[in-house]
Amino acid sequence: MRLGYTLIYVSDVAATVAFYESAFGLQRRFIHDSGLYAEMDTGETTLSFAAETMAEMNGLAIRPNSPRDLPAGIEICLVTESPEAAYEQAVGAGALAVKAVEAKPWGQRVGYVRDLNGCLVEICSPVHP
Amino acid sequence: MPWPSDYHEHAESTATPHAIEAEWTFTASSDGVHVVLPDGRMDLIVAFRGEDDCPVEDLRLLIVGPAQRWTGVPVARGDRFFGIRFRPGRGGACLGVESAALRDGGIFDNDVDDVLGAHAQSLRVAATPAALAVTIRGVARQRAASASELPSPVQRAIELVHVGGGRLGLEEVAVAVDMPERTLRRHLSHSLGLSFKAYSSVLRFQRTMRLLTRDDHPLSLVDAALEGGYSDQAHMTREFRRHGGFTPGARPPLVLIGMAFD
Repeated sequence: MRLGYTLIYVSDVAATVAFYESAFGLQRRFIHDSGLYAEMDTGETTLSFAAETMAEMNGLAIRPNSPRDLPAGIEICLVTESPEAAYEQAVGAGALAVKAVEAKPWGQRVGYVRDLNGCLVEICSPVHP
Repeated sequence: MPWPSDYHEHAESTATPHAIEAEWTFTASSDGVHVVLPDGRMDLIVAFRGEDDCPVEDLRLLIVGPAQRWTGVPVARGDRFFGIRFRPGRGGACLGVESAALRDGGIFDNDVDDVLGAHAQSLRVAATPAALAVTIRGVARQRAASASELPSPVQRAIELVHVGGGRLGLEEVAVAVDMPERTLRRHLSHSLGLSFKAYSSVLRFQRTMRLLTRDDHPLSLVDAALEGGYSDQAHMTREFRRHGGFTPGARPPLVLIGMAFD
């Protein structure tokens, strides 16, 4: 077993992809023609987005994310050597500033924003052993 | 899901207005009573007899309102039905009726003429079943194309109710679409024809029934009650009796219409 994908159900796949490109500098791998599914080019562990309506089609019931609601107890962690600049870029692109980047006792620098759908995104520096 | 083989459904295509969810046909292959399970949608239906290239006989027009309870429809071998199912919340506007007034009921026969006017007349003069099929599709599409849209927060709220499998509370849906709870409640009751609570309950019933009856790895009663959003198995059983007239452990009856299609 290995972790293959992190998938977030969203109301608008194309808008979410565009947001992740402008706010976090990620690249899209592809958006399916249906507009209901997309993958970001995130290396070994794929970050993907699927339309909420896909959840119903799959027989699932979910609590949709909403920027107006408490975020779900889960976060996407994006790692960069310059989290301060990444944080500024994200907020400039419309991410909700939750907690500015600060240094942790173990030396990591960590900040938090919420994306256009209200999902928590952690922006942090790598942990150097 | 145990579909009767007499039932066929065509999901909407890109040519179909969004307000139309499906076009379906049913031909009874034997005498009996078909159970119609509730799905909260509205249908425009023609019932008749006659082979495809022969005259239409015994034509009846029906507008079926949003249901939360099952009903039994007696059919005789050879009875035929063409139906148009409208998307949740859209049937009333498309057909020009107050959906809440048709809750667990409908408008039948000559009363349909009062509602549909010239459209009803065009259905009545269709010479053959083949022409009738074309006409009912045309009537539905025309009405759907000219019906007013739902306010977008209300449309989104209905979508959220579906995505949540009928398990979200009105309060959180209202927050998500940025509308006061009371206003949203009123909008949903008006467009769906069922209250938020009743509609959510129908969705839970439908989804849980699928979890219990899917061909591969149906859920156990305990797991289905949990995943379906029921407080316990007894609660699930009560709701199944109320909506479907059967218990979760039993096979659901064959359905005639009114099931959302997987």
